[in-house]
Parts: sequence; C-alpha cells; structure tokens
Amino acid sequence: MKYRIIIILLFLIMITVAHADHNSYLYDQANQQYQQENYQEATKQYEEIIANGFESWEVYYNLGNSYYKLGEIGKAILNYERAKRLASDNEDVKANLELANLKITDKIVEPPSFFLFTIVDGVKRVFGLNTLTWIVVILYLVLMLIIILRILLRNGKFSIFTRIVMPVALVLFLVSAAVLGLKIYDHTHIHYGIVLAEEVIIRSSPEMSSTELFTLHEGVKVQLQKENSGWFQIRLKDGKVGWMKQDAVEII
Amino acid sequence: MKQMVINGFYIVFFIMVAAYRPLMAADITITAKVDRTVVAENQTFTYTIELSGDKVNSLNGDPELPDVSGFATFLGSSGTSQNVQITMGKMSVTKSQSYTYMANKVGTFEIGPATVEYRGKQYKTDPIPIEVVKQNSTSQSRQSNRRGRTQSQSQSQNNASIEDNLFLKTAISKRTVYVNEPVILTYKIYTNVTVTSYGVAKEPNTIGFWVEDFPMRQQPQTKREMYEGREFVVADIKKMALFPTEAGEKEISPMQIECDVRVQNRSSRSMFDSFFDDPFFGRSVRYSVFSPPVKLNVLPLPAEGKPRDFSGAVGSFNVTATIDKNEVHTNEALALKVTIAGTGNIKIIPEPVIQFPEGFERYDPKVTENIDRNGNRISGSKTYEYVLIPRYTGKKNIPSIEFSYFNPANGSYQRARTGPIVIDVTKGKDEFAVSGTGLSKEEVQLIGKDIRYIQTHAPAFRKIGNYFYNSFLFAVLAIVPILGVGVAVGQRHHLDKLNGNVAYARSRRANQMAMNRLKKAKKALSESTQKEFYAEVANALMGFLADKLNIEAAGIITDEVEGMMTSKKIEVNVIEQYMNCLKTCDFQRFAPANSGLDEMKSFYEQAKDAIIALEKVI
Repeated sequence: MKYRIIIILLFLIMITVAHADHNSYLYDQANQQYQQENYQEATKQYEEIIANGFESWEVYYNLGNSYYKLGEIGKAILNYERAKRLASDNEDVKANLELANLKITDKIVEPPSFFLFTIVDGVKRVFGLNTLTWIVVILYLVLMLIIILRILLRNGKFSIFTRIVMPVALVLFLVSAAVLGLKIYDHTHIHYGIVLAEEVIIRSSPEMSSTELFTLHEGVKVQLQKENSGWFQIRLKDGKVGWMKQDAVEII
Repeated sequence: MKQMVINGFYIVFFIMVAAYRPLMAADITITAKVDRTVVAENQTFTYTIELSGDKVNSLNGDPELPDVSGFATFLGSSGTSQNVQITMGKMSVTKSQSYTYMANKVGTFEIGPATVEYRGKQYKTDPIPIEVVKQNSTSQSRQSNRRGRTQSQSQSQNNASIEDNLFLKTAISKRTVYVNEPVILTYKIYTNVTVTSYGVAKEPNTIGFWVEDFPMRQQPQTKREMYEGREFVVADIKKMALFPTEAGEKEISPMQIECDVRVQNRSSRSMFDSFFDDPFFGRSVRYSVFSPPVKLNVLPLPAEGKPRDFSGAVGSFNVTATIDKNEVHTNEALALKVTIAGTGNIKIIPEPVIQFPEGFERYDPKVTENIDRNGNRISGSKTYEYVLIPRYTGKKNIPSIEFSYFNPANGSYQRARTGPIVIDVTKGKDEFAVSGTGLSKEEVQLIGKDIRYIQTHAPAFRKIGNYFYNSFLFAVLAIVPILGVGVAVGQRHHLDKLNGNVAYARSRRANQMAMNRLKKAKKALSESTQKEFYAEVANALMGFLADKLNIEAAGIITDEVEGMMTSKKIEVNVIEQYMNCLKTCDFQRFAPANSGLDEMKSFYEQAKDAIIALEKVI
C-alpha cells in the first residue's frame, strides 16, 4: 500500500517535470522564431504552451509582442493584460501595454474618481495577486512566530521588543489581508475582456433588433458585468453600459 | 512628327474664316465648306460650318448636320473657334465648327444642307458637291517600277502602283521584355514614289506603356535599302522607347500616316508632255498607309530575390555621391551631390534614402534630370543636390548610399552603392551666432517608438488557474502557526513543571483540593463514622495550608502551623479561627467525645468558613 502511493507520487512528479521540460523547449523555440522575425510561428508556439494548460507572465508578454509585430493589436493587448494580471508590477509589461493602447481607435476618457478609491486602487495595483498573498502569509507567519516566542520565553527584554514589533506587524497584516481580500474578490467576481473584433456594435439589450448605442473597436478593455445567452453586458471606464455579442470579446 | 498637314489646312481655313465677316450683319448667316471637293477613297475631308451674325451667341444648340452616311464615316470634330469683331460700333461674331469625315465610297455625292434654327426661322447652307475617286485600283503594275513605266501607262496605273511602292514597316528591338524594360520601336517608311509631305493621322495606341519619343529630324534622312528584291527609299519617321508598365500580352495598334504623293499627269500626249512630265507639275494624291500592329510579351519582374528597397528601376545604373568639401566649419553650407546614372527608366527613380548624421540642417534637394535620347537607347542621369549646414563639430559620417535595380540583361536584381563620406566639421568663427543650442546639453532624443524586447530568461510555468491563495501550501501555512501556538502553550506548561515552580501550581489548586476533601468529610458525616469525619476535615485544613505554603502536609504538626501563619502576617482572628478548627479536630480524633450530629454539622460549616477566610488573605 505504502509503495503504491510512492509510485503514484513519483509518476505524477515525472509527468510534471516532463511538461515543464516541453514547455521550456516550446518557449525557447518561440523566442528563436521571434528573433528571426517569424512572428507567425512564434505566436503558434507560445499559444501551444497555453493550450497545454500552463502559463507564465513571460509567455503572455512575449506572445503579446509577437501579435504586436503582426499588427494584431487586440490580441497583443489581451496578452499584455494577462501578463499584467500575473505580474502587475513589471515595467516591461506596463510599457508595452501603454504603447499598444496608443494604437487603438477608441479613446475612452476615465472620469476622475473619489480620491480614496484611487488610493485603494493604487494599493491594489502595487502587487500582483500571488505576490500579495505571499506578503500576507509572511506577515502572518511573523506575527504567529512572535506570539509563540512570547508564550515560550519569559524574558523581560524580549517582552519589551515584542511590545513594539507586534502592533506594527499586526497593523501591516490586517491592512494587507484586507487588500488581499478585495483583490481576491475582484479576481473572482470582476472580469474584464478585450474586444478582438475589428468593430462591434454595442446594443441596449441582448438582442440583435435592439437599439444601437455605440460602436467599439479592436483593443478596447471592457468590464464584463453579466452574461445572457451569448451576450455580455459590458461597462466602459467612462461608465457607458451596453450589451455585446460574446464572440467579439475575449476574457482576460 | 506631329506637324500634320491636315492641321495645317485647318489653320489656314480658320484664318480665312476669321478674316471673313459679313458687312451687313444680319441676324444669322450660316455657310458650309469642305477643305477639298475631290477626295480619294479612305481619305479624310473636313466639313466646316460657319455661323456669323450678332445673335450667334444667343443661339442654343448646335446646327443640324447633313447626313453623309451614304459615302463617308464621321471621325470626329475639332473644337469650335470664335471670332468677335466690332466695326463701327456694331459687333459681329463668327463661330465655326469643323467635322472630319472619311470617304468610303467612290462616286459623286452631294453634302446636303446644314440647318440651324433661330427664333422659329430656319437657316440653311447651300449643298456642296463632292467627288470621291478611287485610290487603289486592281494593279497590274506589280512588276512595274518607276523606270520601267512608259508614257503610255495610264494615270490609274500610276495610282495603282502606289500600294506597292509606299508602305510602313516597324522594327522592334525586343519582343519579350520585363516590366519597365525599354523596347525601341521604329516606324520606317518604304517608298518608291515621290512623297511631298506626310503627317501622322493616327498615333499608335500605347496604353500600358510609358513612352519616350526619340527626336526626329525635320527632314527625315533617307537611305536606300533592298526589300523583296527591289530597291526602296527608306526613312525612319518615328522612333520611340516604350517602357511597359504592367505584365501581359500587349499589342500596339497600327499607326496611320497620310502622304501626299505626286503623280504625273499625262492625259494627253502633246508636245508639252515632256515638259510637264516633271514631278513639279504632277498631280498630288492623298494616300493613307498603316503600319502593322506590334505584339509584345511583357514579363513581370521576378519575385525571387527582390530587395526590400526595390523602387522599380529597370536597366543598368550606377550611383555616385560627391561632396564639395570634406572639411568644413560649423554653420558653413556644403553641397552633397548624389547622381544616379545609367540606361533605363531614369524618370521614375525615387529619391535615394540617405541616412544623414545628426547635427546637420538639411534642405530639400534640388533635382535635375538629364535624359539622353540619342542613339538606340534611353539613358541619362538624375542628380539630387542637397545643401547641408553642420551645426556641431566632429567627424560626421554619411554612410554609403545604396540603390537597387533590376538588370534585364542578366535577369537579376543588382545593387549600386557609393562609398561612405566623412566630413570633418571644425568650429567656425561665428559659433556664438547659433542660438543657445550649443550651450545646453543635448537631450536624449527618441528617434522611434517600439515595444520593449521579449523576455528571454526561463520562466516559471504553472498550471493555469492555480493561484497561491487557494493552493494547498497556503492552507498549510495558515494552519501550521495555529498548531504551533497550541504546541507552545503545552510546552510552556511542561517547562513550568520542569522549572519546579510547583508552589504556584499547588497554590492555584489548593482551594479546589480543600473543597474536594471537605466533600469526602461530608460523606462521613454520621455518628458512626465520627472519627473519620474529623480526620477528613483535619486533612482538608492541613492539606489546604500545605498547598498554599508549598510544604509537605505529612510533616507538619499543629503547633508549627500557627507560627507559619503568623510569619505570613495573617490577621490574628483568622489564624485563631483556623487554629480552633484544627484543635477541635485533633481533640475529637484522639480523645473522642460523643458529639451529636448537629454539632458535627456546625463544625463542618465552621471549617469551611475558616478555609474561605484564609484563602482570601493568603
């Protein structure tokens, strides 16, 4: 019984390692194609890694670059956004996303928001989801370590030290945990999409016969609010709301 | 070669028309004319309608033309001409319009009247008679030539021989060419008759070609040439270079030439014949000749090996760049001359791409084109002259200027390039004349904007949808510290015991222990077990004290207890109460007196109160 479990575990590890090897191979191949300006081939191989069920911000970033070079600005933005989701503090991703956004047709002006929201949004944007999770975990571990040491040690000097450090660690932990909570909520409840169709008409309700409200073009980022039989209710940064066919947009 | 004789006729005619003006300007006068009343078959004639009068301009609509479809076809009309004359305060306007027809039937015909309507009144021209004569009769003079012709030959025979003695031929340099590769097309006239003048009636159709005409002499140079066993006078009348602009099978339609041919007029055989048998006195006949159509196969330029910067130049070229001085002071102008020379379609060559070094002010180039059409090819040069003004000192390098073209001679793309040019810019005298730019540091200039390069380091792949916050590791990291705290608490307890701090623990548990013992005593609360009851109460009292003071209960005797409590500075009445209880116990245990149940109960309460009282103060 024990041996069987070990064999199964080893097998699983081998599969994972093999996958990782194959992905690294594809990644290197794709990078070579990119360097030789065969962007079409490069996109195929990057996409294959993702099709295998694996991701990394570098793959999304490089794929975005390849699509940018091919002039497919919608797909380029989509992949930069995906890279940003995994590494929101990466400067290369930010720079390329900004440049790609200059090439889209629609210029959506974001109305100024309440300063507190801006601060919270800023804080949320400082770290990626995983980075923030690690920060929270580390603060938690530090806090718990202090508590444990306090229980175990009856040293007067240590007690004074913890009396200063503990509240700081506690506040940091609570703030970061709250932000993490918001971030996880955003992650699971708020979805964004990038318009991939060259031009798409936004309607007042999820029917082809309904009133045309406005048109959007390739590369625009929209918030997806509701879903209804092949239609998304979308919301723009400036507050415009309407319905759009699902096939014109891809979720980040 | 566009000096058309027919045009000449028109001009003369219009001058005549202009000179003519009715003395009494009636409302409207309409007249019609033809340029000649005798025409050869297949020859053109011009019919002109002239309207004059002071009301001409208020006429609306063109005059109605006579129907001549019976013997001629309409070719086209020239524009209207207008002449306004003011004589003695009276204005007269003359308007004329010419129409060109081609006679296509032999015989005598009449051109009907042309009409124009003005204020309900019809104005008519007089009909004009016209005679169309046969141009080519079936010729029996095929073998005859000029010399063999006798005086007895009829005029018709002379006319008939024209066909064999006057024709056009074409000479083409190449039948299969690449797009933009020039092909030289020459039209030659072969004649054995006297052509007094000729003109191009219809230019060849050169759609799909860019045409460069070679200049021709006013008087074509003639030479003698044998053709089909006969000697002809041959002259090049038109020569052009054709640059096909697109691939495919192309046909150039025939060119039509009209010649005036002098024919001897020998209607009688009088003594004057010899005198009049002279070209000078011959009759002139107009005759049309057509060149054969020309077919060309135009090949597209090969896609293979086409350079990125290929601009469409086909031929053989070289490029040179010269600069007027290699050493220059700042703010002094210098001239860069880039010349592309060679044979081919020089005209379409675009401006070469030159990477000028930073720090030069540059003006748009002056472009001069020099096309040489002499000889059998189109060659020439195109010169771009740039004026450059260096603003900063230093050695500046203009990299080699490249230019790619297709060479049809070997069917491949070739590249011409110049050598790089180095300019040494030294500081000029009027350095300070430059606006502040020389003083400030140069900012880093963004020349182009492009995305940042791809990441090349090995990434950490992970399963899509796996996030740390819902991973197993996260759960472990969340739970383990809590377990750690639990373990720490246990460990603390263990350590407390090990550290021998039992007194604290005993003291904390003393009350509980005492109460437990009292409960035991309560069980023995009966007359039969009187002894045990007192023993248990004593045990509780002593045990409590031993726990509180952390001493061995077995080792103490009642007398010592009082001293111990006193040393702990406990109130005297509490000690007394406690000691009374102990003493009662001892007395009852060792010298039992029969005490009643009520007495035992009240003692139990008494002992309990004593313990509680002591607990409060100790």
